[in-house]
Amino acid sequence: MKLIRKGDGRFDMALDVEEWQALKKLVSQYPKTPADHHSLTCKDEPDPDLKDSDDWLKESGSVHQAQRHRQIRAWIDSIHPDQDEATYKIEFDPSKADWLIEILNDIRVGCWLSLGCPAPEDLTEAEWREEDWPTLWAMEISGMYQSVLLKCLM
Amino acid sequence: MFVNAGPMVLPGIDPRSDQQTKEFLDSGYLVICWDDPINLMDYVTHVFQKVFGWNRAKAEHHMMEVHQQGKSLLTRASMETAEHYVHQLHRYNLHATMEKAE
Repeated sequence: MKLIRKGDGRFDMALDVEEWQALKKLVSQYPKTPADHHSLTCKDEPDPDLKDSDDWLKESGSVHQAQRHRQIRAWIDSIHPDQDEATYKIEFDPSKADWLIEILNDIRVGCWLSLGCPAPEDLTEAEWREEDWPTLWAMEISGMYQSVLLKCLM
Repeated sequence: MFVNAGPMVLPGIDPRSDQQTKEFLDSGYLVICWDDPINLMDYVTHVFQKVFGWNRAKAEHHMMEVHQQGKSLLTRASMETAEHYVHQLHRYNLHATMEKAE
């Protein structure tokens, strides 16, 4: 992976074929976090005044995820290899980077939830079942791409 | 005969706008962000900057509060404004809630 800063918060990310296939496989998993995962208030102390708003929030979460899913399909289709067929150059501005960071975080958090919300030390010390490996991979690789994009925005 | 000469002090206009007054009277909700072991520290800082428009130093201060103390009080606002902020934080998958201020 190569990153080329262009100024004004814009940058290019150049990926080889394997790196692009990995990123494509990753973002295609969106959404991973259930749309109704969050609540306005602490779950053990729900505020009756906010019940309607909470219901609306969950509903709008589904709409937001459906919109993001369509955007991801269009984004993947818009990216083509360079003439050498060996490099994929992806152009980012701050809003596009923020968009992808949010998507990657949905995948990272959703993977973590489906693994049972392990503590950080359990991630390295626990004996994971083979069927969990793809989820662990998606969680770690989405975190890696997030870190790269966040550094480019700093 | 009693002659009503009218009030000594005439009603005036409050210089605050209606919106400011509503916000002032209804600023009764706290927006809180809670720690979790999955969101990256740089990511939390980034989200605070995006949602609240804070500079990096202020966003990092609140991120460190979340990390070290388990939660951070991000702002106090009216119900509608607090809902808006919590909604935005949820879109970024941060663990945020709102509660009535005591």
